[in-house]
Amino acid sequence: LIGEYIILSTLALAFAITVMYQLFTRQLAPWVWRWDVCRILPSYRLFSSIPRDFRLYYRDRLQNGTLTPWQEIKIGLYSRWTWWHAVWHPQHLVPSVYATLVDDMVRLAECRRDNQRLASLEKTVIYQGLAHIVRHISHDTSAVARQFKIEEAYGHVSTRSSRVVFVSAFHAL
Amino acid sequence: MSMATDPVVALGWVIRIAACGVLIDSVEKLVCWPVFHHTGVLSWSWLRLRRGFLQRGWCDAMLGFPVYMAMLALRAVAALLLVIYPLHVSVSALGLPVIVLTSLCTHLRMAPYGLHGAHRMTLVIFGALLLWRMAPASLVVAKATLWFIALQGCLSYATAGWVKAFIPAWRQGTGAFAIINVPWIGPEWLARWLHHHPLVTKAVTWLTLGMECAFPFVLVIGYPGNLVFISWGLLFHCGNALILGLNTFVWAWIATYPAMVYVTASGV
Repeated sequence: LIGEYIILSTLALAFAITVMYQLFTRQLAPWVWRWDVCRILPSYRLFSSIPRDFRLYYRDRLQNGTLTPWQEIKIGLYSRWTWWHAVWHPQHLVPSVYATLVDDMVRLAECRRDNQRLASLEKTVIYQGLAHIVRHISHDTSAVARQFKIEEAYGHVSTRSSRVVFVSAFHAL
Repeated sequence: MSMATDPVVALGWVIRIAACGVLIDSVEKLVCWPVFHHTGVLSWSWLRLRRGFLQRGWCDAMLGFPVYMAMLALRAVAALLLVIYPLHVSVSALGLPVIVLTSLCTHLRMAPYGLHGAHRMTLVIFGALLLWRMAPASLVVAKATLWFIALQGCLSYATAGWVKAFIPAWRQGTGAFAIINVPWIGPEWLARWLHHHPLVTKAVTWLTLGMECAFPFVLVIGYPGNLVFISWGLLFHCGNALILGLNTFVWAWIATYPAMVYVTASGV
């Protein structure tokens, strides 16, 4: 009987905390993210803002000093749409990581643009994650360093031209 | 006995459906094993930098490559067994803790990268099921677990709906287009089609908004009114899976429906 009460109380408490978190997400999120290391507490605010359309590019510096043209790293999921993605969609994993990292990087860059330099951004885990990913994309043997940039575009249906929101330093390969 | 009258049957269906999602998710990750390798997008070498304690030896040993892949394989086997024998005493006694622990490790290793709403809902469901499994003979605990899962499902829809109601694009009827127009979410052909069919866009946007906000009524409306919400939910998630490729969302959210059916039938 005591065991039953403990289980029932745990379920009730878990539900109450989840409700509170949905109601006060903005206020509680910094505290929750700090302590909830496994991100157990769910936020059900799915598509609570319209996502921005970011594009990720990289270019290499070759041994002779020339720069290669910018190349886009496709973070879009739909280069090839197929019906079976409804059941089986392992291709979703990598683009979703890119999308989250790029989004986080832009937020960070926009927060720090005015008063902090690129050097402070380079120490962040988000930057290091992005640099790790870009660095490990295959490259020409004569390439010695790589740089990445993020541009903001405005969706599939748009006539506006994209704008650069972030450019990294060159990193040795 | 059906899921509407027997709580254990309803729990069996919750386990079976949620385990399908875990099975697909685990196998998808196993197939993408290079992603978790030292040079991969989800390499432990940079993910471990997120927090100080993740850089300790035991975390490296547990969450690094290839031990994490073995953990995913174990998770897949547990999920497969639960799909086939959801209520078997030994299978649920071993399978439920394995899924909860490996899901926690996945969250610890990756969050928030490569994880989304379906992973969190799955963890909530299996957490509740694990609590139920600690007192499997108790009818009260079985009913409370179903209530918890049904309420979590309703809370998720209502939160998603009411948050959208404060966004101008959703109120103006262009929210669905705005989401699908983002290349990393929606296909170009659909964005262009919706752009040329604004009435369809408005209908889809407002239907989503309205149904999400009103979804908690599924618990009080009774039969057959509840079928309206459940049918919409099935169409919504299957549509999202087909169009947006959000395949694991289907299983995570539809796993809450047997609980809703039971709660509705048993009376509020």
